[in-house]
Amino acid sequence: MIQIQDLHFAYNKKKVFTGLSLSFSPGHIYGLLGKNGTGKSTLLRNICGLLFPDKGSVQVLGQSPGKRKPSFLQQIFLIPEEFDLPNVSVNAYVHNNAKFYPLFNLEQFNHYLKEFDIPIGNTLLNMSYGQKKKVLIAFGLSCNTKILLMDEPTNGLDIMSKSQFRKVIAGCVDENKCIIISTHQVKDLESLIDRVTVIDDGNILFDQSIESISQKLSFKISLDPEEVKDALYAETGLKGNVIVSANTEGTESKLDIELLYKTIVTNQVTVNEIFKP
Amino acid sequence: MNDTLSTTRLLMLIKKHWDENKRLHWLGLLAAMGVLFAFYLFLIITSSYRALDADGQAMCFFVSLAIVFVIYSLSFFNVLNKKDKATAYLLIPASQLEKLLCGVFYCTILLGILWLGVFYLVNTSMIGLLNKLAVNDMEKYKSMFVDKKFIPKETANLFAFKGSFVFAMSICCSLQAGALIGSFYFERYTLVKTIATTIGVWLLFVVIQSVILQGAMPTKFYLFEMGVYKTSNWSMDAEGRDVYQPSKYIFLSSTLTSISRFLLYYSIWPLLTLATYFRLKEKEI
Repeated sequence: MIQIQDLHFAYNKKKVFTGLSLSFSPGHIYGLLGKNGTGKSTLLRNICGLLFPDKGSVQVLGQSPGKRKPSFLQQIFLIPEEFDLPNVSVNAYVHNNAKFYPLFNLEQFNHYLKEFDIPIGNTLLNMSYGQKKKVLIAFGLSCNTKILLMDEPTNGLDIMSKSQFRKVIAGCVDENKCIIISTHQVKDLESLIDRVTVIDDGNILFDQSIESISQKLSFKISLDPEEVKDALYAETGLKGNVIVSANTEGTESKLDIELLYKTIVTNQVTVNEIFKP
Repeated sequence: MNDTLSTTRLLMLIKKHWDENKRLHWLGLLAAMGVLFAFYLFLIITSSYRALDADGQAMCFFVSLAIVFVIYSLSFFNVLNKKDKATAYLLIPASQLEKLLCGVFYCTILLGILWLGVFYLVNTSMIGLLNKLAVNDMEKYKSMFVDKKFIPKETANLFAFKGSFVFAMSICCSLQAGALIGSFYFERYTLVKTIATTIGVWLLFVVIQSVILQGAMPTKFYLFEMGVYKTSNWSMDAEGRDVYQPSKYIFLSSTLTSISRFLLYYSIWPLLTLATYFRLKEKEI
């Protein structure tokens, strides 16, 4: 669905990607994780055609995104971190924009708005940032595009809205759709994504499915100093040490994405060794 | 699916733009109308009656049209210099050509028609007012008009200026296209930078004309009008007195003159609009 080959990209002289290769398939929710300024948003913008590669290729749905053809744009929707909505009512916004997306479903949109507790008749100007973002997320989901890109979607959402967001996203994935969520707030993607991709300095540090992570890594609380010492990553908590270690026992533990992320960032080589086929 | 131009998508884009900006458009138009009213009032108060004869009215129309064209066009694609707005705009599933045509529709066609209406409204009412005032004025100071008869002004028919109308419209449209592309190139101080660039380009033409074409002419010949060079009617004799003499003319070939005139009238707007299209295509956010 999305094929990135040897992508080179730089903002003037500041290099962001130097030979990035990656692919995304339909039927998955990808979590694109990484620190601020590591290239997550740049990658999303290359995928949707807002930025053009300096070298290498980005192929999305068999097309080159940079051409920004209508047939391509109606199959992809980006929910950017910084967004702009016009000063019109929600109804008017939908009326003017939905026509561009052939698979837009109004019932679905109203359902999502209900889930997010957004009053339909309101003008977008009178809404808070969080409410506007929820309208945009609801609209993006209702467009039923094959690819949905979200850049820091939970920024500006309150605690309740974040759980509403997780619920809504989990309910909308199907085998033809590819959702890529870029965030540095890794906790927000807990139990939502099925593949983790970590970017750092324009390189892929880690790219594995949740299933594979659960099989090969173990997340647990340990009081054993030896176990803590041998762990890939350890953090002192109230109940003891929270550790991430290689899963040698074969029992699956509950994945903690934040711990996983810290483990990858601090112990990249060993983690990748564990995941070598 | 036609990825280049679809009238349905173009109409959808035009309607979307209208619905999202209509309040701003009407307010802007009303404000510009207010300024035009104020300008006419100023002319009447300062008794510049002659300024409102047919040529003066035409001048008012074309200068005001050029100003509204430039101001509106500068703001149209300027949204592309703001990341959030540009992201939303560039990702609308419509082709770059449709987005450009939507811009041309608003900046040239719709604005031109609306401004024509606004101008006729202001012009007709203010000329009417002027005529009333002038007649009253004449009655009041009858003695001062012993030999003069006040001739009421008539509202000018802009289309009656034939060649001048086309020429003036081509200048207005060229300025509009310049402003449209200027809004792409200059993120900040768009108006100032666009005006400075326009003056720069115009100076370049002046230099080309005076260095290359003028240089190819015999001495004392200067550009009289497009394709025609002439000498002055006046020269100085040995004692330093001005002496009248008939002018001598050099006519460039009619083909060359026709080509130059055609390029000046009709090529600037399409060229700049084409350049805007390519800028839109290669815009990155």
